[in-house]
Amino acid sequence: MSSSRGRGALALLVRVAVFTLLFGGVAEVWLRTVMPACEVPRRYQDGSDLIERFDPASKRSGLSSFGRLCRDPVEWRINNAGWLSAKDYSAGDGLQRQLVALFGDSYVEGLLTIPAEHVDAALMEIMDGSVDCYSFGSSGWYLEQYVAVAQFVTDMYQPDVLVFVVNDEDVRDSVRDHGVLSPTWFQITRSGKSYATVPPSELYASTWKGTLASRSQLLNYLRYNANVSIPGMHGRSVEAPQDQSASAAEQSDAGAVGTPSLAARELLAPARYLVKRLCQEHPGVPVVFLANGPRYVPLEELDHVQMSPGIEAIATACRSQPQSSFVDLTPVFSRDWAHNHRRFEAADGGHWNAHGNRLVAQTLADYLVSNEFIDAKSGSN
Amino acid sequence: MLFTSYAYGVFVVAAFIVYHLATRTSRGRLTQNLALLLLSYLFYALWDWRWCVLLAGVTASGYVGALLLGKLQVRRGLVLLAVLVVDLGALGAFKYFGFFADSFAALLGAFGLHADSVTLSLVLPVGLSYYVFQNLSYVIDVYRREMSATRGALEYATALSFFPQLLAGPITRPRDLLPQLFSRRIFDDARARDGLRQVLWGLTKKMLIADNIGLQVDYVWANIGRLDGVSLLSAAVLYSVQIYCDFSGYADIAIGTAKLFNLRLSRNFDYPYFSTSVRMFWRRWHITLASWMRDYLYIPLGGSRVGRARHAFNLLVTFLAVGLWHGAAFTFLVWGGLHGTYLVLESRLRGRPSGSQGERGRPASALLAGGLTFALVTFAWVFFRAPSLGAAIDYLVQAVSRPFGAGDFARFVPTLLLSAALLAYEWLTRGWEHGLSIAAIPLPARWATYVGLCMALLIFGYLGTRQGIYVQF
Repeated sequence: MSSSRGRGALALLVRVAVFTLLFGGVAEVWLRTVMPACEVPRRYQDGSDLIERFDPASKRSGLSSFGRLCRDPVEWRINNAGWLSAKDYSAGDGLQRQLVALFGDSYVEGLLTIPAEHVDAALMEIMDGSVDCYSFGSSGWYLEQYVAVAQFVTDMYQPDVLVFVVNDEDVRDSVRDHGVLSPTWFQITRSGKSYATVPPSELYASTWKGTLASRSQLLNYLRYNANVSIPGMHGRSVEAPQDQSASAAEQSDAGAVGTPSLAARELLAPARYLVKRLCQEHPGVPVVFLANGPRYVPLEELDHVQMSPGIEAIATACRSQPQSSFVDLTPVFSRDWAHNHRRFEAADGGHWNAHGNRLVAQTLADYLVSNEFIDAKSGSN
Repeated sequence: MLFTSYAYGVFVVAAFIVYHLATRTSRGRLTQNLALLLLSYLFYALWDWRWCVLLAGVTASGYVGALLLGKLQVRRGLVLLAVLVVDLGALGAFKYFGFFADSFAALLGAFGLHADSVTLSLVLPVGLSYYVFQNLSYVIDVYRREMSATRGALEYATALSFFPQLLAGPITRPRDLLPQLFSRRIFDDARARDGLRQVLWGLTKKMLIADNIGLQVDYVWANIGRLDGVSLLSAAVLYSVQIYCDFSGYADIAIGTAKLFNLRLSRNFDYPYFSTSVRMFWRRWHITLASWMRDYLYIPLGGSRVGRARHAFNLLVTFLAVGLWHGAAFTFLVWGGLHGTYLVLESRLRGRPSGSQGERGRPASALLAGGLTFALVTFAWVFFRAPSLGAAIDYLVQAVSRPFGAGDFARFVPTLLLSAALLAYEWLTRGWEHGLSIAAIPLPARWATYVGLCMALLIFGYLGTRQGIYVQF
């Protein structure tokens, strides 16, 4: 009697398991065909250069989509150098034209627009092939990480112009003392009256569970489309070869500090330090900052728009470095909106769509040519 | 651990295995109950382990109090009073102290007197109102000699802490649950499968309907001033459906989960929006709370077998208490007061209640009465949902003063249609115990239904992100 009851409960569990498998199969097929779930390119971080990017040895292309309904699926592509771009990058003698290096966070990464519509591709098209543009973007990056990546890029490709797409948090997040800790990225910390670089204390590495999970579209859907947090499915960090200053205890303590809202004057010192370092590390190379800001300000109010503190700090820092320049995108977006009434957002309602990317590229092209940072005809052969 | 989180699914599967392994031991009933008790306390501790102390304290007050009541022939009232003081004291400290202290300070302020508000910053333990009311019903039943005090401490503690009902009821009385716990439960395959179906139906109502409607209702309440009356009216109707699907969905999950352990919890909803009177509504909405208030407050006050004025007083006091049970806020008092007033007016218009007769009429008049009841209930829900009395008044004033304008009515059409579809489905299946009582249909159709619903939950549901409305009470 007792064992038959046990079998009854076991049979129910088996039925539930069979149903779960059946449902998982149906969902898997559905999310591969009818509603393609979001795939995310796999990241890796090399122990030698410490720059986190995408793994060209992994799956090189995939579909990203947004939201529970998997809207606006677009195909991403990892190029030969580990960046999301339609173009493979050539180093050294492979470079035939002037090179613009473009740095930024998720806006430059461009996971929600097809690579042929990214800012870099649009810039090259606008310049009619007379310049190359290599983009180096990754979600969440900030100014100090750009400084480090710019050094890496200069060593590899010797760009003629450095362009940084910046937003309000870029200076704040660069400074460890402000409480945002990024163990796998470069940061700076206060050191006496100046600042010192803190290299990554850990290297990003995929977990086997995360790698396995990324093969399931059902799990991809839950993680990236439905934003469900699944334990153990995130990348983990391992200790970097040259651990500098960030102990685990220090991280956990400081991690509780949170992200304070800082005024422009508090951000000015680190902004000056970072802009100055960029200019010093790349002598003779123009450094251009493109500030991402509000997009739909009525034209009559443009003069009264208050810059956000982080952007204001960068703009102020640029004034003391003749090598650097600053372009505010707010009036650009506002004027275009007033004339065309075409919106700039991709499916997520935030990042730039093809129109936004092209407008930024056009603004950049006009600025670079008018300031003679690049010669529009230099490489048009 | 919310019922709509995957963690709850994992917990239930683990609990199911542990429970049915316990069933196979030689002392089956004892180990079954011990397993349930430990699992339930673990479930509660996953919210906050300190709350387990409170639960244990309330349980002890009821168990010891009832034993004393069973033994004593005199001074039984004192024992009952002591239990009431302990239980209602705990409820008062955690749930109402801040409200009354602030209100008292505000009252003194109105007369020009200054008093510092002494407010205890206590977090309301989840489920407190539910298990305190279970405990009180048991002690009062023993006091009235309607049941005898149990000696089974394990069984009593299990009855009060049984995890499916811990968060949001139903308030299953110990007199219904204890007899089940005193018998050895044998695995019942048909009942367990029906339980799973009921859980799926509950998830569908909660995650698919209530949570999606909830997003729109939240939007409306955050933008009252920008919306027209049609939009506000739509949102009020939608909230009626939201709170029903939210709460009855939670109840279905609780009752369905209990069936996996071969335990029967009290029914909490019986298609309330098909009621043709407010009185009928309260026999079908949150049945376990309404019947608790009827048996332990309304009837002791004299019920309906008193003069007209006293009857009206009894109704108003009972429904103010129902309102106050939900929380310490004037909005809940107004909500309860409105329902009390509806019932007073109904009793005047229809005469004294006499069973269920007189509430069935011709279809047209039933439809009219049903529509009127739904409108009255929906109006009262505006106060229930409002963050403050002022916000509720703003809502109603805006709805009346600007009936048509630049609203967002189009955005409500899909959810209004979804609500209508749900109510139509419930009307068609109103004889069923729950919306997925489909054991009789062929297996392929049944499994196709399950897969379809799970796919809909996957795509449109909100997994573990929106807490049930009644969990906060």
